[in-house]
Amino acid sequence: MRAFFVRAFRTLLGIALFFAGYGLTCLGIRHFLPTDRVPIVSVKMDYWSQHADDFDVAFFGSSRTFRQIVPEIFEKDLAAAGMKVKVFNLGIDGMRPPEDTFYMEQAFSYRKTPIKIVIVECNPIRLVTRDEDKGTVRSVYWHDWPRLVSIFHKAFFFDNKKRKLGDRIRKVWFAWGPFQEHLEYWLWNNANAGRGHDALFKLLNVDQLPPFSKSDLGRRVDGYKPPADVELMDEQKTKFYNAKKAEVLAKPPKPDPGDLASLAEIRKKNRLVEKAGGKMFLVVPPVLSENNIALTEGNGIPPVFDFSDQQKYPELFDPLHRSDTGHTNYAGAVIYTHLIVQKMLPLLKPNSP
Amino acid sequence: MSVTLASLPPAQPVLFVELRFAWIFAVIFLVNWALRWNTARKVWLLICSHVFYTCFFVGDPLEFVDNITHGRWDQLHQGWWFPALLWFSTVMDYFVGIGIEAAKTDRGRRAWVATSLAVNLGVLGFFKYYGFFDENVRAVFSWLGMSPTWEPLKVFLPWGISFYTFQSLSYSLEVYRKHLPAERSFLNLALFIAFFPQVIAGPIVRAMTFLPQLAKRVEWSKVDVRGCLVMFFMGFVKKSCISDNLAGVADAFYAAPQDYNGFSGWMAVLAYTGQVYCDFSGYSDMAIAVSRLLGYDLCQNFSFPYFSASITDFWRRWHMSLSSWLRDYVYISFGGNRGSKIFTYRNLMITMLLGGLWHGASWAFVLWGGLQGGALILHREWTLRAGPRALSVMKWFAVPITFLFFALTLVPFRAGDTYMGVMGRDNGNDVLLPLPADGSKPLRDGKPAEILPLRIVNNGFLAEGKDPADAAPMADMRRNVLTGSWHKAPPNGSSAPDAVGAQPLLARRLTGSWGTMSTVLATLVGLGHGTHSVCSNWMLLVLGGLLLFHWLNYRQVLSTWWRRMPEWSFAMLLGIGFAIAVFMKPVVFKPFIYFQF
Repeated sequence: MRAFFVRAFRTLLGIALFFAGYGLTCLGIRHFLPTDRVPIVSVKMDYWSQHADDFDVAFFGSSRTFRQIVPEIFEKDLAAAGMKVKVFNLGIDGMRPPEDTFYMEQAFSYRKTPIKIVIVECNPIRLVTRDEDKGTVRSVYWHDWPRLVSIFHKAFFFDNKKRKLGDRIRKVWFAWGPFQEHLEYWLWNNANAGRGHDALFKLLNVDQLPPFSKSDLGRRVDGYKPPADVELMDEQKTKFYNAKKAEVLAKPPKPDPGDLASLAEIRKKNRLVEKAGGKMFLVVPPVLSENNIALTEGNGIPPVFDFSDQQKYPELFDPLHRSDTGHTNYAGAVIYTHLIVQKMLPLLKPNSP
Repeated sequence: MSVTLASLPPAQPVLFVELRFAWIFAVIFLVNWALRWNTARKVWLLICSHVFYTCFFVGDPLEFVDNITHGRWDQLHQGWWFPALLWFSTVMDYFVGIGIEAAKTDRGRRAWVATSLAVNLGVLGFFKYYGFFDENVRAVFSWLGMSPTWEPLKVFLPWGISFYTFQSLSYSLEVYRKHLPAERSFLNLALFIAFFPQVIAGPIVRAMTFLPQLAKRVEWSKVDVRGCLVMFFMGFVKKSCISDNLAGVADAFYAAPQDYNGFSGWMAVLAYTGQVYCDFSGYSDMAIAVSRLLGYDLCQNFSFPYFSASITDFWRRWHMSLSSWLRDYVYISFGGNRGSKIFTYRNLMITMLLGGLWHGASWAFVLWGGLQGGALILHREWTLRAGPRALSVMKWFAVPITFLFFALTLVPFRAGDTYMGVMGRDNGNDVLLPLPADGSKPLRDGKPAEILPLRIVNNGFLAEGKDPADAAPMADMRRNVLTGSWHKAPPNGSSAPDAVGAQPLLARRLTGSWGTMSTVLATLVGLGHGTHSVCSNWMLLVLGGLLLFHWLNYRQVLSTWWRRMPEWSFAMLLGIGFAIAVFMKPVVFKPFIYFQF
């Protein structure tokens, strides 16, 4: 029996020492090497880090922000209302919570002066990684401990409803796969995965595609870049779009109060904005989907502007203003930006910003 | 219910270098050694092996069951029923083995073994070579001025079929040759064929090696844990740190060989030579280590082949499990060297051509096999004719010549693999259209073809896009897909739709790109017009360092010092080693090259 315990102790000690060696080496490497370069994200953040205090307003969100909220229009509309501001669009294609919270924390860390207005796209936490991001630096760089905790909450704590045990087990099973993918990214991030490879390729000058293009900062260097499809949808796409539009109209999705983890993430962002001295507004973009996020202001949730109702905002859902079911084209982006300002203006104090 | 209703692309295999494999293996390992009875362990490993293999095709098992029970056939992955082929092969060979042993006449025995050969090779041939056959028949028809009217079948190549078919065949052939008694335990035979560490990409374990191990009780005390951990670590380093990094250089060059200078060509050839070796031997090392941790020994698959002094020696050290299989069951079955010189050479050539074809249904692989066969014949002739003086002089150059020859024969192997195409539509059928190197839109009957939502294929992999493709971004996407960076934003701010999710296109081995091959060869001999450099001269230093490390390993300088270390320092050093390995590996995993075979 004693021999068994001695062997077990030595095994456990070996495992502990393995992880100690692993962890200490990772920490050491991390300490001496610069952070990862992430396509689009690094380009925007590099610029923002140098000019953060030049801007009064910032937008955060996915392509529905990056490609759909036009700083130029926003500035003009506010100027017309007597408010002179400078706006930067920090939206990134495919950026959802909790990545956007990490990105926001980084962005605010560069500011020395208070920010005034922050527009944040309202999205639930995305548990399943986009196919195009799987196993890329983009999926890895934001996986720190707080983000992993948010993902864990999203995966395993659903809501306050009572559920059958079988239902809960099923949900946990289905959530495990995506969660362990995030866990892997978290481990990779902390283990500096890929950074040696990047440094080596830089040293060897290996011919690679230049993923870091300053064109992502936009024509006016305000972070805005028009949607990929600036033209109208073709006949086939329009047909599909109209069918989907009719389907959603006929069977409108039930209002969704949001899951606990996603709400917590919104509150966290709101606190960050308040700490940075600004006022946050949540925007639900004009999307034809089966989900209907229905949030109301209060209890840590900032004012919400919901543009997802096609009956209320028919102009945003007009096929002439769309590039697909999830995105507007440039014409739609202009309308969308005007509408955001219209909604926001009454909520701003008369002499601010 | 028709299987064609399945709409999702085939699921992806779990790689040994992924974290999810670590979880899966931890459970398999702990339960395996927690069970007291050997039979229970074997049952456990058989269940795990089949679940592991099945998940390669169905994705999440619970989701699969959920979809089946709710009749959501369109939500299944294509090829979800392929695991049944593994069972089919097992059951058939079980009865074939018993049938051979029970047969009273030679004729009866031959009939049984012929059944096994016909069915196993028939299934393999259909799935692996249908597309190749169909393509060539169509080419012949159009050469004769006729247009084929039949519609091509959509055939997907099941993961690992080339490996487990050969493994399974080794059993029936050994029983037929009376080298092995028929296995009465279905459990043992099923585990031998489906054993998860090697079911996807070998080593092709012979029944004679593995079945006797299953008859004995495995003992934890006999497991060399330290040796297994070092072997797994070395495999991880070879695959993730060396192969995947070298792939970046080779991929960049092969994406547009016409743009690069001769130095780049040689760097890419050397990089690819290193990549193939480290990819496959790294995988084999990990498979062997994982298997040993469970108490079973798999055969060695590589033995420093790049230090071989002749091509004959090389083929005794490279993919040993396949080359010995081909030697024992093809070369010897054809008569081996028991005849005239011409007869022996014919057998050699047939064996190597079949070996080439085993790697993929493409003329480029046939050419590759032919080159190997030709070299084997030449070497045999040389050893017969050369005098002792010539032989002693040649001794000094033998290793570099053999290495260089093999490196150059990998040009068709790699170039033949660089088919670039898009999925298009022709008369309502999905067809593969070659993608012009200039990035223009492919033509069909002289007109711009209808392109399906952006799907670009390369190396048997498919990148699928969201939006209909237009001609402009194709040149960018071509490069993106080839360099494995389809997730990246296209250069110059162009508005290419993002290609999402590289998925394996198993419809067939894609035919080789002869244009790419000739461009590469022209670049190598200095006839190319490209001026770009794929990497700096420092690459030579990196390759030299790798070669030195490999040589030190070959001379066994590095093989035992870690055994003498105290336990605590070994554990810590292994942790440090893994941390550095993860740091050096690219974030994006490259699929194992041999998975596609």
